[in-house]
Amino acid sequence: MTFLSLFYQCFYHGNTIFGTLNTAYAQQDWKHKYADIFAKTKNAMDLSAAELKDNIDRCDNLQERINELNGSEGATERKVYTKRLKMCRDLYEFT
Amino acid sequence: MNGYYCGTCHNGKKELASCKTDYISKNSETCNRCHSPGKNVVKKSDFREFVKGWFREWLGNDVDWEKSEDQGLIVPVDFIEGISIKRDKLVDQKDFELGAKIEGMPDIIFSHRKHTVWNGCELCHPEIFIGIKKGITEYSMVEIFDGKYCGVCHRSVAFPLTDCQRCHTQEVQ
Repeated sequence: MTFLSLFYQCFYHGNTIFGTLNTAYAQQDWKHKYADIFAKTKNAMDLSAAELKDNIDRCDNLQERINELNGSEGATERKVYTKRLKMCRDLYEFT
Repeated sequence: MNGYYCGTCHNGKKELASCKTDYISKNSETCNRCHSPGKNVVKKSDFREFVKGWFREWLGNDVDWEKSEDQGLIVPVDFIEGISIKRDKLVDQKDFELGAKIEGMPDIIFSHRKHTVWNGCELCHPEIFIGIKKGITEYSMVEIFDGKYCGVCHRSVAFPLTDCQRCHTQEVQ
């Protein structure tokens, strides 16, 4: 009985914890995508036309995700990252 | 403010924490460090004392920041954990010459290396300088003094435009 109870507790709370972590990761997932796109800006001149096009498409997709941010903190993030992403996208387009 | 704007550095770890929504009067001393107009706040350190011994220039705030950093007198923070994004260093580009329009005026030697110590390419291209090939964008000192092109920074955060010989460095042939 004790073992079953312990198993249930672990299973239930484990799911809850992992669920929360998954949600938190999903909420911040766009930041990882942004970091990945932004990290290549200093090598923009070495990227092929296809890679540049791909990065521009990724910027457009990410902008849609950023537009969905809301709340007081979300509004700040939306403002800051929209500007940063635009600079990023413009550089790839220009290159 | 949570990691943005002033809060990027004023996060309570590196520097004093920035504004919070749960303001209480006992925090007013901290708040006054920034919200200081008319409050006669005592500065934490004296700028002249702080920069004593650094390389000097005769315009701007009298400090040659570039040389001081180059010689290791100052090490400005260029990466903040959790905020900054790691990027590869710019592949070294050779310095190039920008011809002066007036006869007798020394040409400019432009260094991408010096300009990208802290900045990324996207800061200047394409918003400030459209042309990626030398000579495509033509601009004049009038426009620069008007706050365009080099004037975006050299009228605000970088050494002043009146310090002519720091850009016009090429000897006249």
